[in-house]
Amino acid sequence: MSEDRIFNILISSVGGQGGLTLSRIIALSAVISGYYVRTGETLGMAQRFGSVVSYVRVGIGREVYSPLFSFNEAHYIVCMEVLECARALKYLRDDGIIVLDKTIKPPASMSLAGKNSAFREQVIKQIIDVVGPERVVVVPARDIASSLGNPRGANMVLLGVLNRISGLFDNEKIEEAISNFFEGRARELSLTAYREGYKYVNQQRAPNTV
Amino acid sequence: MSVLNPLKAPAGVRLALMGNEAIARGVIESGTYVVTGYPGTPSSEVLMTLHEYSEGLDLYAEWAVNERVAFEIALGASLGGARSLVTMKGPGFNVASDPILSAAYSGVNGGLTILVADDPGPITTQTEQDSRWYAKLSKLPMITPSSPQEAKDFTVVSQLLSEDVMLPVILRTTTRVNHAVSEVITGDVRPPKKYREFRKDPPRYVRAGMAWNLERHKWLNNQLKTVEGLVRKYGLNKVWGEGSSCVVVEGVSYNYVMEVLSRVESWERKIRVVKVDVLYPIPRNFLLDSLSGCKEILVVEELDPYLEESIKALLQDQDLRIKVFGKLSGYLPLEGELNTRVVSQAVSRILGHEVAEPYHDGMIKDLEVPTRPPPLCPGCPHRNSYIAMLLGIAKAGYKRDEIPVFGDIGCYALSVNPPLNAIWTEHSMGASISMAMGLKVGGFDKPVIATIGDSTFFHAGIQPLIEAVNKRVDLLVLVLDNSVVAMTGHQSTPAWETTESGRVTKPVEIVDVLKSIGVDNLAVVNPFEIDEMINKVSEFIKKPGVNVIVAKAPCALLKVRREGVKKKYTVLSSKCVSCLACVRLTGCPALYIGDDNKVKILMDDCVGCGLCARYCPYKAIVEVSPHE
Repeated sequence: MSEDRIFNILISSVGGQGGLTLSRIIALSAVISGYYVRTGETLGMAQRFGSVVSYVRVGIGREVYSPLFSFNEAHYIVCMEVLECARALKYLRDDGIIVLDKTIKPPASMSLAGKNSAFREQVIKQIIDVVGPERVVVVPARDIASSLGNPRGANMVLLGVLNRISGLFDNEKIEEAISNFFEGRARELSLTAYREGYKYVNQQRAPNTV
Repeated sequence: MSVLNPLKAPAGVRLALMGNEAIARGVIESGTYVVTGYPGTPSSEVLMTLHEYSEGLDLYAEWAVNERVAFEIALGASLGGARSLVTMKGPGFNVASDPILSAAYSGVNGGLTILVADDPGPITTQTEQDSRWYAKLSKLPMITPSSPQEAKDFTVVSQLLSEDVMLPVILRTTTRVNHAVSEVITGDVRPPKKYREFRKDPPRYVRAGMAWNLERHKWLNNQLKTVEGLVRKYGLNKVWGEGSSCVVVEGVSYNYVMEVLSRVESWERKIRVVKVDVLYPIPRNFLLDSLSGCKEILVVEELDPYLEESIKALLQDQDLRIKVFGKLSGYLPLEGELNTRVVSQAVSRILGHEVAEPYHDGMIKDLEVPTRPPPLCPGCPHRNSYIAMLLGIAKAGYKRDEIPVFGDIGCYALSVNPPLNAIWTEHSMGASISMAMGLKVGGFDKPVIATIGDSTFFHAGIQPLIEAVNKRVDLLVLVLDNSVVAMTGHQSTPAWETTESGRVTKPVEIVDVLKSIGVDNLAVVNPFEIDEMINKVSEFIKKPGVNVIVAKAPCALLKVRREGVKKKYTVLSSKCVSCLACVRLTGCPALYIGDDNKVKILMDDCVGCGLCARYCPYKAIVEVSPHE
């Protein structure tokens, strides 16, 4: 049980979607909450439109050393894109939970191979089949963000869902982190997106052992 | 971006900082006044953080044209008494190594820290270079942090130590420290240490006298003997535990070992952890003390067996027969980065596999989905340039595969991927031009092309071009000028009128440089006027001499950030016949095939360059307002 005071979150996205911002805000929320945190990121513009994985490790009352974790160790995987989610499943603990945005960004290799986007529904279904329906929370995060006039806010919607199901942080700590990170109009839009995400699910679905 | 300013926060505040941001904070805490460098992942964010947050602070923080120049600026500042710091990635150290080796003989006055960021993995670097060997080669002290907190603290230590020993100190990091975000507690800020005096002292500063050089070498060796004693006051090098199975760690590998030990209670009692913060000179006394009574030693380090070899030599020297395990014994891999799982297996092995390894794969496996190599961005001018180049080659009557295209370092190297498959080589900064020249002088009798970005041209492309012009070699050079160092996160080039810090410059124009070198034919084209560029390529490729086409258009990401998107494109499904010409020509990541098998455009990603529409044989791709 004591081992589980460290929470591993994998953020899987396509470069440019806002996965790094999401990882940063979780790290900031952790520090504001008085927790320990360590992340492992892939940075650099050449990652634009490429696969990007962020490892986020939050330690509650316990120092975090490694910036990385291994397969079968993520308590949560936040997927900003369907194909990248399919590529990250090996990281999920046997009781871990996936928060999945329905967005697909078909890579050039898929178009060049003549594969069409009907593929998205197949992959979502496969993910649910493999992981189990009770452990995959599918969220139209990009659509929700878009309806709020902020298509770039899908990451904050997903953060809202993550925090609702995990209960990792007090809402006010996350809102403080968002307010510290963004300025001006982006701050209000991000807070709204976060709150919409939080409202989208209505119950906690934390992994069994937490 | 964040409203919390990491440079101006008072002491004792707990911040969430990336390793490189923590080093930038360390710059301020150490009273460093001159910071320079050349962008290179994973080192770039140190200067970027200073640019973003240092408004009003008394500081010189600027990118230099390359790492060598950056180091020499830092050295000059230091000789005058200013504290200075220079940043670079591992291969950048290769570029700067010449003046660094001489600087060990002259020594420094103000503290001088050389930050070199290595990249085990590799994640974004051409080789898995281990820059620790440079400490031995240049005879300069080297220290290494294991976390963002230490990255900040050791930046301060390296500046103080540098003044203690009067030598540049190398602060060596790896990606998982540079790019890790973690809690960092700020310390006190020192006022910036600026120019005091520069006294004429030829034996010390002139390397033309061989007797002086011999004396300075003796001086250097004597200085190095003092390092181990000096670092004690800074609390470097630590040991935990009383076990007789000893694990030697350095930098990020410390974290993997601590993580492993925290998972198996019985291991924690059996293991002694020896953390080496000073990589050069090897802390002999510390190691002999902390390794005494060890039954076996496991060295956990990334990249080469640098510490492993040093420890073996030390034990041999002392006639100590303790078995040392690590990379040379096959317990840890010689390639790739470490992680807790690999380290756990090695620890388990020295303990005789007595505890089952705590890592196992889960039941869930990845699904097989199409790969996603990073592509050129939608609207990237380099895509147009390479398409124009390939079509220009064909127009000139050559087959695509008979004209070698030498690439260089930058985003445009992504042209190696399908569907462009354009470049044949990518080696090191500036090598495109000199290698193309080499193929020609070696006897290759068809045209050759070198492609190089603007910042890479400034960095290391000018001298190769002088060489090619001077030796009368026929060569077509494309300078892909997007007016920014794009790949590492949009840093300034010498062509900018104002730098990130607000410094007003005298911009250096690439065209002026090319003219002054005396290239035979020169044209500046806009790669979005693609027909014009195709014609120019087919014309220049057949002309004798060194011919240069500057393809000038701003980086698409930056253009969108500055100007927004003025138009987008959409596909009329009624006209699309699914021929996929647009996809196969451009490989644009904003294009995809819909479930009706017609091509669609991701409206979030289209920036309206119009390249796909230009090449749609059925005119099915049309312009729309960005708000549709």
